[in-house]
Amino acid sequence: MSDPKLKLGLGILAAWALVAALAPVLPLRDPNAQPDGLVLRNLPPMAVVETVSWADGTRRYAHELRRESDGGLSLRRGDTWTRVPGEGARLERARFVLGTDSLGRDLLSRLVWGARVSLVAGLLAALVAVAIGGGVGLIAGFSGGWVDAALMRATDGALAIPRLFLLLLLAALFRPSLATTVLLVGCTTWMAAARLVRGEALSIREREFVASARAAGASPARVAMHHVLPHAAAVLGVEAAIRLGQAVLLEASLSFLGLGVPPPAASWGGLIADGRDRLLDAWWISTWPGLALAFVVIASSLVADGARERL
Amino acid sequence: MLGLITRRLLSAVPLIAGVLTLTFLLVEAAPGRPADLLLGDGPVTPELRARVEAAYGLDQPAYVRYASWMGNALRGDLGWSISRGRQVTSVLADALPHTIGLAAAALSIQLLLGILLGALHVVRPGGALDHGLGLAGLVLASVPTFWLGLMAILLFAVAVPIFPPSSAHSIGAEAWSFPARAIDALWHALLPSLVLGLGAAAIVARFVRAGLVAALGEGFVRAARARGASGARVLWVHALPAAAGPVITLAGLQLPVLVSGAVVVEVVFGWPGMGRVTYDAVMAADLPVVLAAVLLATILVIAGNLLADLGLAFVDPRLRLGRKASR
Repeated sequence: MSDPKLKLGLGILAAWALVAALAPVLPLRDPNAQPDGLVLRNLPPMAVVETVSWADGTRRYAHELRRESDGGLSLRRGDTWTRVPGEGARLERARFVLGTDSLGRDLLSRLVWGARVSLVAGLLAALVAVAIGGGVGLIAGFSGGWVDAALMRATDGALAIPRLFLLLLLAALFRPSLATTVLLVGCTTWMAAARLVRGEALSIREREFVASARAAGASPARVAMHHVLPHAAAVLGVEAAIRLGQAVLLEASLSFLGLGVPPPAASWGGLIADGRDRLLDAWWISTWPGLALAFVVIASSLVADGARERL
Repeated sequence: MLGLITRRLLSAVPLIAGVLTLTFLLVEAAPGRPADLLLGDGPVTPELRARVEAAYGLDQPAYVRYASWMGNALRGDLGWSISRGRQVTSVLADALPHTIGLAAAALSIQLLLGILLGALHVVRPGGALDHGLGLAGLVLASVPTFWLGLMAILLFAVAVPIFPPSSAHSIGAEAWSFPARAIDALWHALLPSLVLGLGAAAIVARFVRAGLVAALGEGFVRAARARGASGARVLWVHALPAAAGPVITLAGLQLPVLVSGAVVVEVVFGWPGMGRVTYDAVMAADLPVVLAAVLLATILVIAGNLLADLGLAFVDPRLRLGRKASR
């Protein structure tokens, strides 16, 4: 049972990571370009648009194209017909696989470029959370006594503060950017890792190999880093997988509220927010990034589930 | 029981003091000066700045401001909302019932639906239904709440307009009779609370399933079966109470997530609760409201956790009796 889950989850995550990493070399349109706000806005998935391009690289989009008897071209945008030179013109049909948003931006490229922002933000935030949590848990479990008590009370307290309210406060105080978003999400999600690692540290601390390392004169820091941490690594790995999905979700929530990664950079939460006011006439704008998010979160849950069953 | 309540209330005091300290430190650490928020972006003379800072006590040293922030908060004075021109406490007092209502409705959905789904799971553990529900639950728990909200609006308020897309009551509902107002409120609350509760219901279902599977293998369940109790009776009367403890603990632990989720759901559905008010305050750079909302949301979670503890003691007699015996 465990292997298919782990494989499926890792497969989905790897596929997204690959797509995100290859975004600059994939044959995609510029995610932020708005080449024609009139013709290209709110195109449904699989829409085909008439285009004319010339040798110098200029390109025009049209609702309708007509070749005139004199060899010139007429193109219609909305209600107006314009004449353009016909020589050297290449007529093509451009396909927008996932459609476009209300500014005429290509949703497929925005989704792929958004994966870079969302996955990087999620991964870094998960690492920050696991690093802080691991550190706190290690110190608490290893020191014992009042340090342990104080750190765990602080952890419990941090768990009781509803995360999004705290994130709203932080977003109000610090100007949102990718770096602050990563730090904010990481700094508000470390508590579970701290509890897990503390538990591991408490049980490992009593084991013989730790006692012998101590007897051999290893410093507490060395014992913690070289003997306890490797044993806690498996638990920490599972926690990191869960955190990745949750961090991607949290970043998306922040960006959806307009308090995460600032526009025009495409991030999945921001894409969903773009489509929010256009639900009536362009449902697809919000739909794709939502599905993409769900896939990443499902994959990270599968990885965590599969890995836990293997432990 | 009284001892439990007292102990929990006492342990909340350092937590609330901690939240107040944390928020104060965060404001201190933020770039810019608090007066900038009040003065806006326009050109400001040093005299005006000095007057504003003196009026709000911002010219005092940090420890004086810290002491007055703590003191005022303890007296229930959370400051003045700049954007709304009212006391922060009155702004939040208007919003709080809406958030409590939404959270309570979502919590009910989460528990009822979770228990129902969990029971369906164990009709035949390992069967097709079990696996199918597991998969559906995984998807539900993974879908972002705000996206689920948008899709719910799209499907049930736009495509098939049977629910209102936003707000907590119909226009002019204040003049209606009480039953009409109550039905109107429920009608408006159903979609947002479903969206807020569904994901958590999937997690609850997982716990209920695990608890029921464990309980169904226990001796007391086999004894009940041997006495001739029906399958349904065994499930609902004998196995479910045994599985209830972990579920209540889970609901308590999930409370901060629920209150967090309320922020997004309230923004999506235009629900006039604390999340919506806080979001608007962030947009209006109205810091006192945001600070107070963090505090109030934490208190809400503490209160909810206390209720969960009481519920736990209610379903698990060992907790009640154990405490009494030890006293």
